[in-house]
This record gives sequence, C-alpha cells and structure tokens, in this order.
Amino acid sequence: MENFFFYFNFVTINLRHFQNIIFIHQLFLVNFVVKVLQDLYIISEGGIVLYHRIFNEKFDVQLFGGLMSALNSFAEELTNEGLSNFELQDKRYTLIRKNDILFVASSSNKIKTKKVIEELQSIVNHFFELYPKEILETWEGDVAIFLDFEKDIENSLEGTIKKFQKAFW
Amino acid sequence: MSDLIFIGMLFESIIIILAVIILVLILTKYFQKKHQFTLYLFLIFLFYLIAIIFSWLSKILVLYSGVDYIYNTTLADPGTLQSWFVLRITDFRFSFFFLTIAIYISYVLKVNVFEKGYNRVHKMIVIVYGIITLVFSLLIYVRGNTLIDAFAFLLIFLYMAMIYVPFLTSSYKSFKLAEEKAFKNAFISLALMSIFYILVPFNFLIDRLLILFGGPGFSLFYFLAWIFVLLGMIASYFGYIRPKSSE
Repeated sequence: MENFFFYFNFVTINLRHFQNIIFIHQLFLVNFVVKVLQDLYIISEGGIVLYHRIFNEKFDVQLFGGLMSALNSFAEELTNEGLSNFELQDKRYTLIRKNDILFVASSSNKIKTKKVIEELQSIVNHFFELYPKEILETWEGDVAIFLDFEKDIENSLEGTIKKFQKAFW
Repeated sequence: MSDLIFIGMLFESIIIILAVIILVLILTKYFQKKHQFTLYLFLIFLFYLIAIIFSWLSKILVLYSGVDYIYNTTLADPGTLQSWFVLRITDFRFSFFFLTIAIYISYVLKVNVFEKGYNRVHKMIVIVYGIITLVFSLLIYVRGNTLIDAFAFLLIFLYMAMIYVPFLTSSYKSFKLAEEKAFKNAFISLALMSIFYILVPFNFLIDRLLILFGGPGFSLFYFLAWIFVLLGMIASYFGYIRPKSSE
C-alpha cells in the first residue's frame, strides 16, 4: 500500500511537471515570435531549473541554474535587490525574480534592456495572471486552461505584422 | 466671402485629386493581395472620397448653381425634395453621412488587424453611436441653425476620436515593438495618420464654433482641417501602401 502511494505521488508530480513544461513552452513562444528573447530558464529558489528552452545547448542546464540562483542570492546580499542583468560577449542575460521563482532570459545585447525587461516581465505577468501561485499548487492537469494563452500568441506583434504583410505590404 | 469659398473649392479639388490617386493605389494593392482587409481600406477611402466630393459640391452649388435659397439664407426653404437634398449637401450633412460609414469601417479594420476579436460592448457602442450620427446628419436639420450644425460636427469629431485614438495607441505599441525599420516606419506613419484624422473634424468643429460666435467662417481652422486631411493621406500612403514586405 505504501509503495502504491509512493508510485501514485511520483506519477502525479511528473505529470504536473510535464504540463508545466508545455505551459511554459507556450509562454516562451509569445516572446520568441517577437524575436526579443532567445533562451529562457525558470529556476526554483533552490537553483533547480524547472524549465529551460535553449537554442544551442553548450553547458549543463542544472549547473547554470545553480549558478544563476547563487549569483542572484549573492547580489541580493550585497544590494538587497538582486541581479537584474549581465552580459557575456554579445548576449545579455536578464533576470526577474517573483514569488521565489527566478526567470532568466537571454537576448542580443543590441536590443534595448528596457524592451527585454518588458518582454520578460510580460512572461512573468502572464504566468502569474493566468496561473496564480494558488492555482499552480492545486493544479490537477487540465490542459484546456492553456487555450486562453494560445489566443494570446495569436495576438502577438508577429500576428499583427503578418496581417499587415498579407493585406497591405 | 465668395473668394474664400472659391479658395476652399480649389483646396478641396487638390485633396480630391490626391484621394483619387491614393484610392487607385489601394485598388491596385487589392488586385495584388485579394485580401479582405485591403478591401476594407479601399472602402474607407472610397467613402472618405465621397464625403470630400460632397463638401466640394457644396461650394460648387454656392458659387455656380444660381439657386437663390442656397446663398441667401434669409430666403425660406421651399420645402421641395430638391431643396431637402441641396440644403443638406451645402451644410455638409451628406459629407458627415459618408464620413460616419468610413469611420465605422475603420473600426472594423482596426479590430481585425490589431485585435483578436470584437469586444461586444465596444461594438454595440460603436454601432449605436454610428446610427445616431447617421440619423442626426440627415434628419436633425434646421436651416441656418449653426448650433445644430456645430453639434453634428461634434458628433463626427467624437466618433473619429473613439476609433482613431485606440488605432493610434495600437500603432504606436507596434512601432515600439517592431524591429525591422520598414515596419517601424509603417507603424509610426499609421500612428501619425490617426492623429491627423482626429485633428480634421476637431479643426472643422472649431471653425464651426467660431461661426456660432459670429465669425464669417472659412477661418484658419477650416484650412488647417484640410491640411490635416492632406497629411493624413500622405501618412496613409506610407503606412499602408509604400512598405514592401521582404516576405
């Protein structure tokens, strides 16, 4: 009986994790289509990468998550505000922390920081608007709740440009 | 006074020529794209053009028709079917009628290109307000009553603002987010176009209010309004027609 409950809990946790991945993937698409954000990581307070989407994987994602979390904690100790962004060659990494979850996105350093923050903030906001903390904690895995988000994807800037291209340009 | 009307007529003739050119370009675009939105744009400009032609016609009637009750406001309205049409043409009511239709189609286009669907409440407000404006334009008319005329101008100005202020904000947001220079230029042109179009009835309204307070009409604001029509059309060209997609 004890084994059954263990197995049941294991399956439930993994199902939720899988659905989280689908959802966050959809979230990422919104910003991917506007060509602002490149890679995206969502990291727990303990430094575990809950979700990542990388175009060219060059390093261990979990190590990167741990590093980001540690860097952010270190910055919080120093400034009380945490790390907001840093640059590596031509890439800029932007960080936003909310409800103990760290959202990290990379972008070209040619794109204005303000625009990247706006895009990442919209991911964070969408995340917590559509699926508040309480819902995510008690979420039973109904995929239909993602439909609203798909509509948001249609409403992206890329959608508007496509419409103009088809009709006028 | 007739000199000012003549200058106004010349001014509007230039605008008509430009509007016809833009309309032909949109029609050409429609034959290329065969897209419903291009058709909406064509209809918008067609109705704008008809509205301008009626405004131009009002000056022709005043200057050259020789019908006494048109230019002599002290004479009573003969109450014939002909005078019903003629007086509403000379007081721009037919222009308002077609402007209202053009503004409504602008709303349809705006929702289709910038939004994912209609907001039921907004749509109802736009339709009801449009119907009120249409009815007011043609039926609420008292000859020589400038206050009622000014109210008709106010209705058109508010309708224009109701549709083109959201159009402006959507275009500006798209301008801020777009990366390709051609797209940025197009969206900022559309944002400017919205401002110019809102300023058109605004300036006409001020001109009408000046008449209400004893002015002779054809003030600076009248000509400013037509300048904004001109600028709006140029901005439309750079927003809708000029950009070439790399697709």
